[in-house]
Amino acid sequence: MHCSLFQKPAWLCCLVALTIVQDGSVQPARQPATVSEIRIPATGVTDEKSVRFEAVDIFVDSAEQSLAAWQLELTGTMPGVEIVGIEGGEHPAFRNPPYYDPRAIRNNRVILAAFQVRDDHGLPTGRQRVARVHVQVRGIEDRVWIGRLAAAANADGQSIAASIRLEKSGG
Amino acid sequence: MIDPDEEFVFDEDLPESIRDALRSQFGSVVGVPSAIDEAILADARRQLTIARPGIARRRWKVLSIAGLSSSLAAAAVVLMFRAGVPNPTLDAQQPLSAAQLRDGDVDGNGRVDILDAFAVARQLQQGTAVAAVDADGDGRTTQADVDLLAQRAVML
Repeated sequence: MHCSLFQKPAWLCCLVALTIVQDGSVQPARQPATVSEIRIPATGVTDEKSVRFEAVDIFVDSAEQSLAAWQLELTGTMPGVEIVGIEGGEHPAFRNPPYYDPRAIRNNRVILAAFQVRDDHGLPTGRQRVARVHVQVRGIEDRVWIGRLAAAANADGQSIAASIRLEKSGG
Repeated sequence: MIDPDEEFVFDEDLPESIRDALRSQFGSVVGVPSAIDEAILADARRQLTIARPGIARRRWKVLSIAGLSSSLAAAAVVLMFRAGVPNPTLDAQQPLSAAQLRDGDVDGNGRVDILDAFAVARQLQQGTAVAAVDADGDGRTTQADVDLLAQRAVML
């Protein structure tokens, strides 16, 4: 087949462009962590029947963007944990308890969500504790909690990149 | 050669009225024998199938440019999505389907989440109820609908 000098670089450009896109050698925008896991060790607990209470703090970091709405799921993967209470966050915009299904109480899984349309106190930016989940724990095993951030939006209702982090309250 | 006195044979599916009109307009019509038609067509086909470097080069140039353009366009689209294209919001004022209105999937992303409730809440606050979501079926869009959507979003 005839092959002109022109067509070679053109097709090479095509191949290079597609290869760059495919192998991701172009630096992609850094993706925030939408999943966070925390392991809370059962340090010093020897009685399998012991019942304790602790809390998991949930932080959402929206960086420079204002956080007006968020939704996440928290799941305890080990047996013997039960959610017993849900508290709001530290910023006035999210101080009230978030929305959740009452069936999450006495369960090991909850979906939490909140939004704020009023701008009386401004909206938080950066890292904010958006909720605190109180749990009852039985047994001597470490507890593992996984948080998945499902949605985050700014005041205009546009989805924004945000990350989630779980921490043991007071830990 | 064509016999000028030969009666022209019209196409079979040509209406008689048109045949009469043609006859009255042109009298005896000189037709083109099918053999000549075939010869012309055969010659044209032969011309088209002959490999001509000049044409081939031009054709490849066109194909190369088209290929390059489409590849770059595809790459741009993929990169845009990787970089994160802002999601459309309700401010785009897209008409909602009946199912969306009924289910509360206001932004049409396939699920009811807090962003749907947030969208309706914003509209209520701004007084621009674009999406007449009536989750509680009372015929109006109110705060109760917002709460219902939010509850639906967190349902286990």
